[in-house]
Parts: sequence; structure tokens; C-alpha cells
Amino acid sequence: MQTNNRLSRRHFLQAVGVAAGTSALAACVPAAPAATTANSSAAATGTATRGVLRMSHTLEWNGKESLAPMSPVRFFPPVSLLYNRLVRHSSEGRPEPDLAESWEADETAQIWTFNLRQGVQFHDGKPLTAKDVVYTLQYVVDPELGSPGASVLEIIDSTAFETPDEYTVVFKLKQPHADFPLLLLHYSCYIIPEGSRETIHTTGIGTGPFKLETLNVEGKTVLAANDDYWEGAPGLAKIEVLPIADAEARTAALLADQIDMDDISYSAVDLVRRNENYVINSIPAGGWNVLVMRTDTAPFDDLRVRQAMKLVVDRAVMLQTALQDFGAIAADQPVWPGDQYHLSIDRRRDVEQAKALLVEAGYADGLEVTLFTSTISEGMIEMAIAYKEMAAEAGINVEIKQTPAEGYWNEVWMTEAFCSSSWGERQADQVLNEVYRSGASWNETYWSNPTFDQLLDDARKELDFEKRKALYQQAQQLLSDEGGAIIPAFAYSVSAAHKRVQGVDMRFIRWNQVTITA
Amino acid sequence: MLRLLIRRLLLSLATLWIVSLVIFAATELLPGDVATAILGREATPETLAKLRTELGLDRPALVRYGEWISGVMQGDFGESLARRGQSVGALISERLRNTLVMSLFAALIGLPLALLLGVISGLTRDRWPDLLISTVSLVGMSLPEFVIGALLILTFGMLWAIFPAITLINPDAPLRELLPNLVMPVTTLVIVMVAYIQRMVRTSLIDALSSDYVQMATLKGLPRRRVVLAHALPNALLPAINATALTVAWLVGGVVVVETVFNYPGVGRLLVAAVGDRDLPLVQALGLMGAALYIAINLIADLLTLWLNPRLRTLQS
Repeated sequence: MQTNNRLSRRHFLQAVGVAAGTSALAACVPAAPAATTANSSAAATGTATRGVLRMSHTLEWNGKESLAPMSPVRFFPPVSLLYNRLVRHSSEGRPEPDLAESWEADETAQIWTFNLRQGVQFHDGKPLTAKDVVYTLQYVVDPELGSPGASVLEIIDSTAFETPDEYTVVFKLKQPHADFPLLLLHYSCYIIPEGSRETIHTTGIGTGPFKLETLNVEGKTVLAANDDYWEGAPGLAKIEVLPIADAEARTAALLADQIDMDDISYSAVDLVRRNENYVINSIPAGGWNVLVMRTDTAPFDDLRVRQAMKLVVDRAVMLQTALQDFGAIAADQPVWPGDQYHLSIDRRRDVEQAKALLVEAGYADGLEVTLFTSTISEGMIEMAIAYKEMAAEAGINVEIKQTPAEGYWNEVWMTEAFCSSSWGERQADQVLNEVYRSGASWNETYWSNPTFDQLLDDARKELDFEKRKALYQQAQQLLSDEGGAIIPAFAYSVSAAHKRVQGVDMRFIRWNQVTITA
Repeated sequence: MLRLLIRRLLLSLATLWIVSLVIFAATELLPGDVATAILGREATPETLAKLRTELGLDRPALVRYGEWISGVMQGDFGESLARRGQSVGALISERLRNTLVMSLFAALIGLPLALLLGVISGLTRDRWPDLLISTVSLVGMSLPEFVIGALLILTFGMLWAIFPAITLINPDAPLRELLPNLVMPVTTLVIVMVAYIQRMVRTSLIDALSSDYVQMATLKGLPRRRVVLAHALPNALLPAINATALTVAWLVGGVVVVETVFNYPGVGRLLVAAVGDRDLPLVQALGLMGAALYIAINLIADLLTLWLNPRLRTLQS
């Protein structure tokens, strides 16, 4: 599960761009929108000049990888190249049209109508219709599959889909949700053709800019340009995806010019930087490492102790030590600066106040805690060590216990009173509900606060954006002040690409616009 | 001699059986099982229980071991738990070729080279050829495989891109495609292997050269060449055989590191993945294979020693 950060970014690698007017895209002929002419010129000049891009995958599932995007063992990155979702990420943190051209809610935010883009074809030539969408989402929530998207889409009444015509899907929700389209951004919500659940894991038939040519998870997987892609023919002829499990071997392959681009670890940045053929991109993302205090267990059931534990953190130093400054400062709440609902809070280090709080809580002679940690995510051990140093000044003695990464999620996390954890970027509503709502299955801090839960409920029902934002921000403030999570920083991802590769320097890569010069 | 062979073979079988017990127990004792490895953080008590039932992990360990061992007796290593539907035999045989080719090259190049260098340094004791060879092999011995591998990648993969830095071919690629990818992994193995054997041969040759019978032969006026080849070397090589066997057996483990560093698609990497997956049948089969190889090599070395040394032979029978 070391891949958590990676996943977070990876599920955002899905193509995205400027919020182009839906009417312009509706024509859906393979002509690029005006804003992108420069990048797609390679595509326009014909197939002969298009290059082949070589990238790696981490062999995360040791060969069990499946091309079914909703599978728990989905094969990343190919799934993000083969398929589209109804909506996609935009730089504003809001969903923008992808396979759906437009959508609207009724006044209760419980009935949602999505209008699909017309004339979109799957790689096998079949047109995309409302039936495919219903089929896909019903499959995602199928308990037999065990998809990570099932819990996210739980809110949909999966027996009550309506398809008034071929290009309209009506969702009925079990509860109101004003930001329902955000849920459809989940990485398991790529649309597959109706009736393909038995075959999709090897055929990979989607609507995306690339189609499957050869599938060989442990060898070379080849994707070829889908020249009928609704947003224009891709600027690459092919993409080769190669398995490299070891992080150092990946960097070696990059620098030896065996692959053209890759995510690299913070520790490899200096090495890659020395080679002028490569461009390093620090890509803002909202994943985070966290020190988790169980709010239901002594000594952390005392709010004063939790606050003291948070007050000792020097966030700028933490960002530097643990993430080598590839990130942004956080204030013990998980909604990152790139999110439309982010609340900016200034949390300064205050050792004196921390000491005072500890005295008040009855720990005048100091506090002894044991921090369980592991190598599940980059920077986690560094963060634990830095925290130990910072806490010592306030009389908090942190004993660090490093445990094996294997079995960490099952034996340590959500069991021990104080431990490390790591999350991939999630949008505000999702993370606040998934990780901090009372009784949520991933509620790692065991935080239970009725006011907080109520704020989340109210926000979901609120159709006015500004009012909704205010509610989500109140929830963030409450969590930051009283919750059990010590979140010093958000981790950006770092990727490196050979300078001949163009169009991969952004947060949401539009894969049809990526080009490579020979 | 035959009786001895039979006894050793029976002992080997017993050893293998014990090894299988140890591997089984070790995998059971590791934190987590195949279900937690598959589900990771997504695991809930319900999904874990469901998956464990599907995989038959809810039954007592002894029952599972019994089933597995009776399958093995019939030559069936069962199905992989993590990659359902794939037989362990097929998974291994796919990769075994790659590992065998690599180890074979390493042994074919490394063994003669090590003997030659050992003899040279033994004969030129404390003079410059010996000092040069011994110093270099000390360095080779003290650097772990992954450091040597990384240095090779840096030098011949990046600085002068002569060979592929890491292996990026299909596991079942034809041998022709495999060859350029073999150079650096094989070199890594050879460096470590040569270092050990060279030192062993050197020491035992020096011992033999200072023995009474060599002095006698020299005093009798035999040419130096004949003294070395006919008298010193055969005696010097005897202890070296066992050292060589141990080193070759070390290859079995060394390939795990080397395959990881070079992304080489062999059984070593398969083993790493299988342990990560807690894929017991696959770990068991690979572990047994390694153990069997280890035992076989040592058996061959012992027989070779017996055959070469008349003193031991008469003693045994």
C-alpha cells in the first residue's frame, strides 16, 4: 500500500483541460478545441510523424492487474488511457464535462439528470448510450466485485436508474447530495460497454484516446492511438507500458532512456536534476501523511492532549524534512489547497502553550507516547523522527516503533492509539465523510462529533455553492481544532520526463495532447 | 559407494520435508495472509472472512499443509492463491528458463575464472599479481550485489549506454532478445562468485605448496610445472570443491537480489512478489526448489570429493 500517494495522483492523470464550453465540444468531431491548437498540431500533420511514448507501471498487483477500471486490482495507468468517465477533473477543483455534456439536479439535490455526449464510440465501434452508463455503475456497486468505488457510489439507488432516451441518465439518490457529480470523478467510475463485465478485464474496450493493442502485464503492454477519439486524434502513435516494480530500477530506466517519463521519489530528484535531458515537474496534489491519535483512547481522549500534540509541530520544517519541500503546509485537516472548499488555517508552533495544556491535562511531568510507523509511504519515517524531536521540547517523549509494511493496515492501523497513516488526495466531501464521520469504516481517529456530522449532512443538502462552502469550512475548522489527526503537510508528486516529451507537465494530463519528438 | 548414495538421497528427502515445514510455519507466522495482502486497507471483517472462505484459508493450518503435501507427492504444486486460476507449476516454468540461463552463464564464466585467478595468486603469493588479484577480490567480496549492480547500471547503462540498464522484455522473449540483458546481471554474479572462490583456491594452494610432499617432489628435482600440476593442485582443489558448491548454491539466493536490481523476469522476482502476496503455494514451491538445488549441489560436491580423494573413499567403504 506504499502506492497510496501514487494512486492519488494517478487517478487524476485522466485527461482534463480548460473548461471549454460544452456546446463547442458537443459537435464531437475529431477537431481540437481552439485553445489547444498548438499542442495537437502533431496530430494534425498525420500519423507518420507521431512517436511512441514509453512509460512504466509499478506491477502493484504482481501480475493480477485487470483492465476493468472498477476492479480492486485495476491496471494503472492503462485504465486512465482506455476509458472516460462522465465527468473529469478541472483545475478549479470542480468537475467538468467528459462523457456527460451537462447535468442538473432537482431542487432537493436528490434526482440528478445527466445528458450524454452524442456520437461517442467505443473502441469496437459501438456507440455510447445511456445503457452503458447504467450498466457500468450497477457493476461498480456489485458487492461480488468488491470495487473500491462501491462505497463512494453507495448513495445511488442502484435499482432506480432511468433512461428516458438514449442519451439521458437519471440518477435517484438515497439522500440529497449537492455535489453528486464529484463522486463520479472516482477512479472506478470509467464507463465500459454494456454486457462486458466478463470480458472487460482483458479487452479494455472503452471510449478513451488510446485502445488496447497488446496486453502483457508482466511484459510489454501496447496501446495504440484511437484516431476516432471524440476530442481529436492523439498526438502519439502508441504508448508502451512496461513493468518495473523497484523504484530505483525505475529511475535507472528513466535515466538510461529506456522509458520517457515516470513519477520519481523525492530522494531521486537530485540525481535526475543533474541530467539536463530531463525536466522535473512538481505537480500539486493533495495526498498526505498523518500521525493518527485515537480520540477514544487515553491519553488522546483528552482534547488538551491532542491540542498540545498538534502545537509542537513546526510545519515548515516538517515539509522540508519529510517531503523535501515538495508539498504545501497543512493545518491538521485533510482538504488540500487545490480543493474548491479548502479552508486556509494558520497553525503556528507554540511549545509554551503546549506545555501549559499538558499541565492542565495532568501531565506536568511529561507525557510518554508510543508512535507506530512503517515504510508504507515516502517521508513517513522521516516525519515520525522529526515529530519525536519537536515533541521532546514540550516534554512529550515519543517512542518510535517501526513495524513491517506487510500487514500494517490490518494489525497496526486503527488498532494502536498513535500511529502513522497515509492517504491519497480526496475531494472535501469524500474525505470528510470517509475518514472523519462518526462510525465511518476508515475513521482512523475514532472521532465522533455530532456537530461535525451535522455540518456534513447540511452541506450535502445545500444547493447554494457559497453556503455549502461555508458549511464545509466550518467542518474543517472543527476538525483542525479538535480532531485527532496531525497533518503537517500535503505531499506533491514529482515526475520527470525526457525533454522531447510535451504536454505532461500539468496536473491533469490530456493524454490525447501529449506528443514526443524523435 | 552406492549405499552411501542411497543414504544421502533419503536424507535429502527428509531435509526437504523439514524445509517444507519450516517454510509453511514461517509464512503462517508472518503478519497478514493472502487475504489481507489482496485487500490491504479495503479490508473489512466481512470481506476478509469471505475471501478467506473462498481461498480455503479458514481451515486449520495442519489440514491445509496436509492437502498441500499430498498434492506435492503426486507432483502437483497446486494453484496460486493470489493469482487465482494459474497453476504454480506454470508460473514457475515461465520464469525458470530466464533464471537458469543467467545462473548457467554466471557459473560457466565464474568457475573457470575463479580457479584460474586462484591458482595464479597462489603461485605468485605476495608478489604483485597476487596482490592485485587478492585486493580486487576483497573489494568484490565486501560490496553487496546490489551495490555492484547499481555501479554497473550507472557505468554501462547510463554513462556509456552499452547495455540495457534494466531488463524490459517479455518474460517469454526469445533467447536472442534476452542475451544483451544478461550481460550486467551475469557480471554482477560473477564478480561476487569469483571473489569467494579465488580466495579459497589461493589459500589451499599455498597450503599444499608448503606441504612435505611438495617439498619432497621439489627436492627430488621435478620440474616446477609438474610439481604444481601433478602434486599440489589436485590436493589443493579438494577443499575448494566444497567452497565452490556453497558459492554456486549461494547463486540461488543471489539471483533474488540481482533480478530485483535489474528488473530481470526470473524466479527470484517471482519469489519476492509471492512473499509480498503471502501466496503460500508459490512460496512453498519456490522454497522447495531452492532447497532441492542446494542439496543437490552439495551432494554432487561430496561425491566429487570422494571420487577425487582415494583416502576418503577407502575410509567410507
